[in-house]
Amino acid sequence: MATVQAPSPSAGPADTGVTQVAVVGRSPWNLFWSRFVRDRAALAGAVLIGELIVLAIVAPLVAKMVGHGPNELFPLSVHGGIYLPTGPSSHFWFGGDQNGRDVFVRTIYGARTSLVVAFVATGFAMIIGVVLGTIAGYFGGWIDTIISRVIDIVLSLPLLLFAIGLATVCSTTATGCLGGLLQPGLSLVSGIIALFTWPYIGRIVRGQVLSLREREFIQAAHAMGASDARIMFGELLPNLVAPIVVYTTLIIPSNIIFEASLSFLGVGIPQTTPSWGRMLSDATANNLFTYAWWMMLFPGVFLLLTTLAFNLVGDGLRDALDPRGSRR
Amino acid sequence: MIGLKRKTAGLLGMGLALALVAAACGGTSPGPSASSPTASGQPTRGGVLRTAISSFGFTGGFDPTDEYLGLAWDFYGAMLRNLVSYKHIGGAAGNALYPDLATSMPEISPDGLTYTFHLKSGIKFGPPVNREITSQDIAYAFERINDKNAGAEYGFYYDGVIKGMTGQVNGIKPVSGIETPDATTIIFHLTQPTGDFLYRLAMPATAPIPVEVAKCFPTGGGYGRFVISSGPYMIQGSQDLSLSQSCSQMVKNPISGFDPTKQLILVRNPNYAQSTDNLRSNYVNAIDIQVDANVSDIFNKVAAGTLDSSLADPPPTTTLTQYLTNPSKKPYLHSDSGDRTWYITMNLLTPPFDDVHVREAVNFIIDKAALQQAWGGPVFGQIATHIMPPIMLNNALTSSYDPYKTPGETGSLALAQAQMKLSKYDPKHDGKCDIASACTNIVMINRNYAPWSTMEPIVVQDLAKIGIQVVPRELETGAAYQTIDTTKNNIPIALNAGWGKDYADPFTFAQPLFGSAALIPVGNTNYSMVGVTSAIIKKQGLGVTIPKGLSVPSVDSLINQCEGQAGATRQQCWVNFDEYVMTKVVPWVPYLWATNLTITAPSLTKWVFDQFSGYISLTQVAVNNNISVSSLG
Repeated sequence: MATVQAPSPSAGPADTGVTQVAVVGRSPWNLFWSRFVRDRAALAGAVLIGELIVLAIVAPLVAKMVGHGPNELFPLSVHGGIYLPTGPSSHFWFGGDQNGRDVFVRTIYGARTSLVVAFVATGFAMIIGVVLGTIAGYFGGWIDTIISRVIDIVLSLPLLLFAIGLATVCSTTATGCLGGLLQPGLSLVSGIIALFTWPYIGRIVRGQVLSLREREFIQAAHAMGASDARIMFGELLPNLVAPIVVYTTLIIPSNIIFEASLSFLGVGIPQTTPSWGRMLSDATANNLFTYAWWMMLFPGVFLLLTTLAFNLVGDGLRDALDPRGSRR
Repeated sequence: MIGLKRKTAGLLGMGLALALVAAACGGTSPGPSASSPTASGQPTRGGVLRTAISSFGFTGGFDPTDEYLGLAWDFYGAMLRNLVSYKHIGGAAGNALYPDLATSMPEISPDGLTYTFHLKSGIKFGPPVNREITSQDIAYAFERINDKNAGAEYGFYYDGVIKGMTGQVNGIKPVSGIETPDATTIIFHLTQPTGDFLYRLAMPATAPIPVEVAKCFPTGGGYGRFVISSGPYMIQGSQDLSLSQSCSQMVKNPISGFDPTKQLILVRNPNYAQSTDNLRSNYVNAIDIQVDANVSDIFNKVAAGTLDSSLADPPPTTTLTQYLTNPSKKPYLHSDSGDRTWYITMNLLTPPFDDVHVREAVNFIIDKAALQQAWGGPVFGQIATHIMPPIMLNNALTSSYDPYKTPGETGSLALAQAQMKLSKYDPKHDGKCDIASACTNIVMINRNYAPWSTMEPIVVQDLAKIGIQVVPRELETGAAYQTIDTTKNNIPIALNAGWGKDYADPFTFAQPLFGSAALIPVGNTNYSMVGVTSAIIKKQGLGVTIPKGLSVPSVDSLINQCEGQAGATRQQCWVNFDEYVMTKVVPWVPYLWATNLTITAPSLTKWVFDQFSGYISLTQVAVNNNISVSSLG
């Protein structure tokens, strides 16, 4: 937001062809922003994400307000001798789950899990992908070969078996595995997600670097004696921001689904950590959802809206950042 | 080996291959009774019992020598006859043995080592064998168990018990401890007095097998699609099996009525004479078992009357709720004791559970009523107060024996704290586990689906009340068992385990669960490490150490003492054993004696549960549906 002039509010599609009086210098950021704000769907997505972040942050306050913690156990309802979750009521807005816990509070807390995965796991994936992709593209040769083959190998690992195996191996001690680095639960799930998604970013970055490194400004930097590190991260990286941002945003929703799937399969996220995937899995146990529809509906809707929002924002970002896209 | 087989995958995995429990029935459970005519009047002969299962899940291809699935044992109850057998009825009476192929119960020598049986005459194999069953056919079944190639899955009940049986013989060879002086006499010589030997003779693997057919299947599981009947029912199409063809031809042409992925159709065996059998009623003309992967569909068909009964799949929640709340439907829901105990196991070698007072405190603090609710309520099982399901002890020890009784079985903080105060882990005497290194960060293995995952928050919360902070680790069924049955993992506490009987003698609980003989590095079933010694650790390579100064209790001598007895003294011995384990060893918090649920249609006019197998009694139920046998297949 360094530049001064905001885009003129009247600058609509109708104006673009018309040459106006004062020539306003429009920075790439201005161009991007003016395009992005005109994408209503992307804006709506961004607003939704913003709300979700706020909700996740104030989750403890929400719990305090309704008076139910996410792991507090409340009585079940009895139907002819069978104990079942209680339905939505003025006390339990989204009903209760199989332990009598408040589905509303757990859904709100579930946003935390999903957002942690969205930002932390994807963030790690991005960092690994950018660093390795840049190195591979910049140096080429055997370094490129090694990194590219590693990418191929990671992408061909049987992901679910790997995840289940890791969770099992890390479950036999209290400290987890790798000297306590990996604990079954959110950290393991985040780790697995980062491990399996960095290659997507890595490949794209490598491709971009391959074409950029032949450009004049890079050769100029070489001629001026800049170090490899400086060229990679001082010269090349700023030019990679657009693809990185776009692809990272597009990977986020798939990672949220990924976390939900792993939690659904029971890979590691414990009962005490509310997670939408886990809540959905609880609802399917013994077809419980055919009775307790609220256990499936609410986390399901939140999961849907969240992934939809990230997808819309990602699409909007791509449209706004792509220089080849039409200047609407 | 005593492996994963008899462990219970439980309610929700009942249709899967891991639900291998041989469970049984009873009338002790709440809810409808074990045996109730669902319509007035006498049961009528005829009709076809139509039922379905989500998947057979056979463990040994339905070959009686190998098969370890309780459901298969249910089918064998209608197809095979043993020297001694059950009446295939519900309740403790269903555990009583009667002569079946034998003319009477055996003559047992005074030293308890020799069992002599005489066979009834006029009992023939079903088609296409059609000849009289001889003592040699029974001996052949044992020779097959003894053949290492045949892969007998519970050979340990005979190996080392009958003279000459090791399970390691290559090929079919005579067993030195089994004599067949003539075609109607068979004599067993044992190596040691074995009070439950008759139960072992009632197992399907020991039913007569005709060599004419079985010789073509020298390896495990192969005979499963060629099982020749010795009982009231046979696989449909058995008569079309040609005995004149070569073995290489025969293996390509299994009997048509059985396809493990589709169906099993049993029809009346024309060679069976009801006059030789006073155990089975055989009302139905045929039994049609279809595979239907959609469990909801099975129950919808039962409700619509196009099936007469469910089989082994637990009913979905909505179905169950309808049957429990609608008085007109309630008589069609049958809840019978599965003779299975679900328990929390504690490791005698790991702090803080290496102190018996801590284990007792845990027994007092756990809210068993809440755990029962987590399973869905009393229809799923009765709260367990000790080790053996009451029917296993002929109701000599019921839930009225409750050494850790708390009001409403909801747990008692005061009683738990009183025990905790006696422990070395409570130096402050505040009723809480105080020593951080022992009382926090304790791994608790659990399964990652309901009802186990539903129990987890309850157990975590209860243990925290007495200062024990557990870290739950959730795994799928197999991984959870593998984690706790690998001794070097030294898991302190686990919530995933259950055990069901093979036959109704407490030995099938005592030896694998608490005997030091069960201690092996991988596949150990004595999770609590009862009776472990430094010598055993070294010999077996268990990879654990006994904490300094700890004397680990052992029940080996008690087990041996009970196993050498028979009759009423044996039963009393097992009662004493159960009490001793509960109060002196305290390896478990038993919390549920589970039931098996079956839903029937009005067309099933007589309901009977088979206690031995744990499912519907195929030879005792009656239907009224006018379905003809010719329409099957």
